[in-house]
Amino acid sequence: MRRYAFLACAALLSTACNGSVTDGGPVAGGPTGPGGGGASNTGGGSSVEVSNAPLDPSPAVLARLTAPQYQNVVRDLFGVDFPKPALEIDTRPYNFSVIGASSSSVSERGVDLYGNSAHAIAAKVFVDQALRATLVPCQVAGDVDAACLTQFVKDFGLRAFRRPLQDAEVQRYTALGVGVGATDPWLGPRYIAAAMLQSPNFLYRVEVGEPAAERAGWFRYTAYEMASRLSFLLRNSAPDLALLQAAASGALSTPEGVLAEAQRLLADSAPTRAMIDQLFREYLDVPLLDDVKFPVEMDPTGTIAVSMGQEVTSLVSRIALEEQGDMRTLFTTRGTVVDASLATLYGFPAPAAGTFSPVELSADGQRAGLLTTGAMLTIHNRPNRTSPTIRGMFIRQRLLCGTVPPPPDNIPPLNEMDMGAPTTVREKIQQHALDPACSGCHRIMDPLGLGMEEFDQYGRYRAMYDNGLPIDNSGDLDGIPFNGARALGDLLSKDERVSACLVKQMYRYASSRLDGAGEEGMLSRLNAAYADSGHKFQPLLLALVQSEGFRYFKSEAP
Amino acid sequence: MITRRTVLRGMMGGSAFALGLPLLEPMLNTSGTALAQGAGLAKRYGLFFWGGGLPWSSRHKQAAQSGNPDPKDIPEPDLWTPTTTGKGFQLTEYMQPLARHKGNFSVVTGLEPHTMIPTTPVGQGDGHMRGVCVTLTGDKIKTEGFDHDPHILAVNRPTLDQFVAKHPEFYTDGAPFFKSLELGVSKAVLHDYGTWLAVSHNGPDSLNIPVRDPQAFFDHVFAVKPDLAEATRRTSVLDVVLEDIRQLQPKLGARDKQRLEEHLTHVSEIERRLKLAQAACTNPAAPVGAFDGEKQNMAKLDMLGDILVAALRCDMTRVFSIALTTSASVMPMNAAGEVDGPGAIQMHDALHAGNREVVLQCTKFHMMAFANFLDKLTAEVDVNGQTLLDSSCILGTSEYGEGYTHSNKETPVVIAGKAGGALDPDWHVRDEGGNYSRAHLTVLRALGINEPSFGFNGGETSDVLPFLKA
Repeated sequence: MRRYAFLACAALLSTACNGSVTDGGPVAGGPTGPGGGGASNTGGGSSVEVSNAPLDPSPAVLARLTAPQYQNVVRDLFGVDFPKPALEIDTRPYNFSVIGASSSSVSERGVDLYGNSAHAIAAKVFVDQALRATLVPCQVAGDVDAACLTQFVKDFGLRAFRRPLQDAEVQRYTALGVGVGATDPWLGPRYIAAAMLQSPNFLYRVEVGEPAAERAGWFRYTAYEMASRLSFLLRNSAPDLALLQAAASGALSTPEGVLAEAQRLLADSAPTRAMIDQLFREYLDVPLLDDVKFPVEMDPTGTIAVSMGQEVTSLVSRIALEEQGDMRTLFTTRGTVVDASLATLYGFPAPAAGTFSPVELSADGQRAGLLTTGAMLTIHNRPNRTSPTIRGMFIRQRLLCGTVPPPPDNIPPLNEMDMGAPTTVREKIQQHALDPACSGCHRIMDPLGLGMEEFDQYGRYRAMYDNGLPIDNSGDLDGIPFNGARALGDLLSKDERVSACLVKQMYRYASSRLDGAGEEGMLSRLNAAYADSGHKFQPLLLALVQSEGFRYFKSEAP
Repeated sequence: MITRRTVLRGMMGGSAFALGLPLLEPMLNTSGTALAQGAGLAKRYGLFFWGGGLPWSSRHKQAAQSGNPDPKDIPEPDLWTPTTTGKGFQLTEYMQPLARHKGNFSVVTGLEPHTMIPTTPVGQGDGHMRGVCVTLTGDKIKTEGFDHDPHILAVNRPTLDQFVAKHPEFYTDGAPFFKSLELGVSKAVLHDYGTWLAVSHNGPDSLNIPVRDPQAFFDHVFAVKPDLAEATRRTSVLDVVLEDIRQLQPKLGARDKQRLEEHLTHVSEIERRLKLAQAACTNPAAPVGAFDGEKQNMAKLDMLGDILVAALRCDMTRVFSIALTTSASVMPMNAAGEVDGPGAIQMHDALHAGNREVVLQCTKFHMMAFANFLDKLTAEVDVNGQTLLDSSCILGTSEYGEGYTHSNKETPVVIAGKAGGALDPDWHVRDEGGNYSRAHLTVLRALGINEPSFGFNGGETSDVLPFLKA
């Protein structure tokens, strides 16, 4: 579905729009109030302000596995690519499904679906003689062999629970296996596996920690918990055996050890690429493309939404992974990849069907960078016209980490119906700018989107509106005028708020929660490190996993 | 005579197994109006929810009151509110799709939230958000954690369907297969989180996401039960899982302990259901066909409705909720009344753009769907000749009144069914500015739940609607 901005205009005065454009924290560059302040930071490199505020860690969270995580985990546990299990859908507050997973309670049906999935997987695995032999290497003989079951519980349990089992747990699961295996010994391991896949120790990423002797009042994530944190961040899956062994050996108790394992994981390009795709798809709302109805002439095969999404993730991973380049060039790069449908959109000869090929957009053309991709231009609109407000809101909230205060209650409608003379989009929404009750909030959003009007709601370039009226694509980024989406991208590439925002969003993704007030200083230091590295993605990840916020927490306030 | 609780019992693996039975004639008293033990016939509760309110208009009042009416502010007639009040009202234009059910429902107009609106965090007066919480729960939005900017909100307490399903005065003759069933039709939700996704909640951030796929709903309700041996094994598995949860809980903070407590409750419910053998009842046919996209919403409702009614007939549950569309729905509709037809506009957009033609079509769609669903309840006849609708209380409602302005005034309330004789239908009650929770309280009392009042945080009322029989 397309994001929808409530149109805010009222005869009543609004008191709501005194909020600042940025959402707190010592972020350098950019103005600090609506319409005020000077130009944003135009230099590159680290002229970033850094806070000295010490870290006050937030409490740990209890995140359930998201559906993609569940699928990856069972694939890695059993070495089988199972069909996608029917699980309850994830919710995605604050952009990320991991935040939904740590804040919501599972429903009864959700638990039921976990049960169905667990039994289906276990049944499939344990009728496969070759596969089950790899999981249960000891002899499962005619009589149920308690010793063998115990070994299986320990070995499989270590990987399923992502930590060694306690003695009471070993006994509990072994007894289960002995009980159900009375009639057929292979039922024992099968139902042990089915039970483990329904255990909270499997379904939730449990983080209980241990008191940190080196930091009074703080807790440290245990070695096994660090293994999970690393693995779910960098691979969206459970720790592999090497990572579990690193945990057992004590290697993950130091930042250096964490760094070494993180580097090992990141060196594996396929799962790293999958992680980047997953992260940025959620961050940039790419799934919303699925609900867009493209015109038939533009999308005869009904596939352009998928192509657009792939273009975006290819763009990100090219810079983040392959080039290990400056992430700010995401907004200015003229290199992209196109398949047949995107080639038509951007004006290139089509590559062979079903393939993507790299292209270079022209130096004096309309497009360069993320903001001018079909995906980003399309997602945040109305179906029947562009919405400068929604496009502006996306940039403000998502890329600049700014906030938009709520509209007043009881707003009258914006009368969209053309009464007589045709109007441009700018004219339709001009009440936002003229009415002081509207403008306080709308000038946070509309001037950004108004500068992108040369692209229609499907990402196509246009020289004029359908009704023949000319396009005026003048916009304004907090006092800096610009014309066109490409120019806005260029401004964003130099705006320190964008980098600080990416750092904050990455931290939220890595932590499965919002950042806490006590973490602002640490975030600004992470941002500085990111800038010092040349705004490179992998150094950011590596700095993040070594940061104290990723390794320590405090218990909840009583 | 045999009692309502008559069951066939058996022992297996140390656990008692019970076979629930649908209502049989020998269970009734001699006049067929009540169960032999003197208890009333089982009442059912259902929520039928549509998003976006109605095109009832407050604009004509605003234009009249302001000194200089905007010439573009064309006064729009109110085509929802009946002109007469009391028993035997005349159907209005927007209610026409319900004409064949006239005599089986009452309409209440004028109700609105009375809950307090805390000033921080800002935005708690927003029509969709405050409205959906009051309509579903009778309470304000959960203040802690509310964040208007990204539209993140949680209910403050369980929704009414869960309140009913878990109330000690409701399932008085023993717990059924399912305490409640949640189904939905349109997938066009505004946001993929929170109250935009579901109309049934167990509490804050505890959604009962509706099943929107007929095949999945059929599997959920009428899944082939495992045989006794398999059920025993699965019960042993769940016992281990329960112990794991109990061992983990003490190590967690309060909120996470609570989330695991909910998980534990669900596991216990599933284990309880495992021990109930299959109801001896005619299952409906499994659904065929795919119901992709929004174009087949009416057909999807039809299929889902058949499965639900079979579940009700077999007494597998007595509480359900249907999210035809959720609050601030973005279901696409065009001016010709075709869902996702050519030129379709998202419903939420149409509301805000003042596109009355499309909004009218949405309203027609909602009312037609409601009427189609009620058809299924009236077609289902109990052993005593009463219809399923006669024994039910169905609350048809939306998250607010007028979509254009996010206005919570004039929130629509349609209460269908006789609740086994507790409700006298065919009334129009007008209570301008009245407390919405009068509807909640009336529903509860009609179901035999004798709460003295309902509504919270400023929304309290002990005032029922006049068509509740004493």
